[in-house]
Amino acid sequence: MDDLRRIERTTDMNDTKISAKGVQVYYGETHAIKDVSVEIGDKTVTAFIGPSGCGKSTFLRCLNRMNDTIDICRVQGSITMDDQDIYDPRVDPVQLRAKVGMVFQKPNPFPKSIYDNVAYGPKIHGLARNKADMDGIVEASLRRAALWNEVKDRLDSPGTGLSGGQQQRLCIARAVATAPEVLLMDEPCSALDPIATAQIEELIDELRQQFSVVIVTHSMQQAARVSQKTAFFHMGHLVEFNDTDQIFTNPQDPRTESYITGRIG
Amino acid sequence: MGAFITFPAVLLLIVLLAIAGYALGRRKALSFPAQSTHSRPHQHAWHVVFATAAPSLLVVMLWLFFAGIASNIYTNMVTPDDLVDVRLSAQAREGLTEREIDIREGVLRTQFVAGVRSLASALDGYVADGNATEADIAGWNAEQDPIADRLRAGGQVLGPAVTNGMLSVAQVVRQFDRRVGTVGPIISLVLAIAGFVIALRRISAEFRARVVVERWISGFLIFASTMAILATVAILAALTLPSLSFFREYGFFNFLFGMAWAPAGDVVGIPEGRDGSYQSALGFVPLIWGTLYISLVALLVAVPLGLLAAVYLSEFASRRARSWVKPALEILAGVPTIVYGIFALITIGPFLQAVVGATVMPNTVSVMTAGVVMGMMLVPFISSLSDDVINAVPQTLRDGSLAIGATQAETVVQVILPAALPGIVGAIVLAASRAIGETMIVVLAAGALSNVQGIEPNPFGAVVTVTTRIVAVLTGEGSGFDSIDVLAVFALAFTLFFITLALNLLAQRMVAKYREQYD
Repeated sequence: MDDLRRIERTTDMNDTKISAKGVQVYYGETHAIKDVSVEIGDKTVTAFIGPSGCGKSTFLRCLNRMNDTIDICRVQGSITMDDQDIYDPRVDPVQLRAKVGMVFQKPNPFPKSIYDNVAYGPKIHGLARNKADMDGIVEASLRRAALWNEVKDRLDSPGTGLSGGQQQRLCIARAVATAPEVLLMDEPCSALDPIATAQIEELIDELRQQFSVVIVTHSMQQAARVSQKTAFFHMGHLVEFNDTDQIFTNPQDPRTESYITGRIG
Repeated sequence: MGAFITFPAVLLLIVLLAIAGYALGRRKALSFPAQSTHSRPHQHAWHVVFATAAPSLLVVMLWLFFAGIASNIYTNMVTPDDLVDVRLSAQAREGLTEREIDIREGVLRTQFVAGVRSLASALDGYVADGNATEADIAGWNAEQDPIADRLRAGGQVLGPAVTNGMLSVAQVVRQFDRRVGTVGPIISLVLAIAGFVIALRRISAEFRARVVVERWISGFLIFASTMAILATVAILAALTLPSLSFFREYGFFNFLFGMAWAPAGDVVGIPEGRDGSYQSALGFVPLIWGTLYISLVALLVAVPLGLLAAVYLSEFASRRARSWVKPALEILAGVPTIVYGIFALITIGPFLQAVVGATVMPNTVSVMTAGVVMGMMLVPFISSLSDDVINAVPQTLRDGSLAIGATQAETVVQVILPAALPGIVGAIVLAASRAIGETMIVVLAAGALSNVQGIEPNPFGAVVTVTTRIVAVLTGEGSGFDSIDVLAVFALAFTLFFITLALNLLAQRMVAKYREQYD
């Protein structure tokens, strides 16, 4: 059984979706990310783990250029997606972000109806030609986020009225509605109870069919459960990047071993 | 003896006792071995201070407050019903129903009581200054002596005329006031001494002074917050009684739906018209029309400018720009309104007249003149409140929208403003209530007609507002305090108070609703 899964994993990890080389990030004087190079595969879940403040979220936010919104933040090095440099001046971060969706730590539905929350991105990017199109996108996105059956009768009620786990799945639906190729998740379960967490984890595994998923998590069990590749960050360095089962069963770096056995963190 | 027990002297004594209490309490507490005491020495000391000063000072305050009310009631009680001052003459009674006579005599009585009270305090002041003895005053006769002139010459303030009836009642009231004025200080002094002695005796090693002092402080804080509420209640009370007597006299609906405002200085209780009505036309409609019209123009100027400024400051401005623009806006908020008024009068008014022409805008004062400048005054008000509200929108919402690929402008319009909307509406409502109550700008720039008929639709025409009419009547030479016009002004203030109160409550509810969403 275990072997079968391993085969499935290796066959899945064919192409590289995002490739980062020598990435440095500075917050003013602080050197937050130090020379990180990593290859993120297509149709793969890649987990970033590491202690608080190690830079994993900062690095994640480099991948859709969310760091651009912070004045004092500077990014150096090269990050390419499908061999296209995403920090090229000709790349519009707004278009990039339509291709790289993001889900945040705390569920952040907009103060709009459930329908409008999902329709927000498609409307902005002009993905639907008419109302029927939009209805289709909304339904497909909500289905993909495993939320459709729970909300199909109340699409007009406010998104903020849902439970925490439903809100987070609504945010996932919102992110997949723009038909992204990559989905970034910044500790998507840290504000949720265990049942909602399990639902989201199951969902992540399904999302892998269509997207390349990058997830930042504090929970090593979660990384082990949902990811095929794991990157361990420590103090701004990428310490180790390998297949998830390798990282958790046979870590190469002593720092990784200390972290996964609970000695640092 | 009686002469020494006055409130100032007693206050001084209480303060001295409190200081002595601190020293003695501390010394007594220090005499216990440090390990065995529950509370620290300074807590014991403060316990004595509070017990000495707090109840006695409270009594002083309550006494000063209620003595006036009690004296008012007493004056009313000792005023004989058949006194000629409070009766309508047979001539004035002609053709009036029993009820109308009652109303008018009630008004006369209220005025008489006020006149007596001011006469009484004038006499007190006159004697205290050494201008006359009590025996002199007892021999005065209002029909022969120019009493009012005499008192005014002595630097006293009082109503227009003094009658013998007023004089005799005033003497009775003065005696009552003297008695009340002596008993109050004695009670508070006794309380202070009692508190001082008891508190000092209670100090022991086990006495929990820390807890007691904490309780005193929380009581003190509760008291302070209650005072603010009481001030509102007091304002309301001061406005309510004259307003109610005005409504009774003039008719509530005549006032509220009256289309003309033309005070003629009628004396209260004595209508001059043929059918027993007043010649003063005291209709609310033209005034509230002017007020609302100007406020509307002001909001039309202030809301877009203020809101856009707030959006710029909170979402687009770099840190450097923000550090310049925000203080500049706050300077605008600190400009006294009279300065805005002068600016409106000498700059904006002539400018508008030059632009639209003198046929449309005959005067430099107009709705637009006042409204535009008032709008400028409100810009920082709206921008600073909206800025706070917009900043309170969680950063995660911004991130969420940007991460989908929305531009900053799309994020502001579609996510941030809807999220901040209740708070922004609250800010606008607060600004509206300021615009309605604003006085100095409209006094200078809206127009100063003393006779208004109906409503003025032209935005470049002069109007009057509620506040300008209050100022005009109360500072005008024509109307004394016995005129119906002055009572009408109380009704104006009363109505204005309720309009702004309602708006503020509305704003508070909206802001509260907004807070619930994101806490």
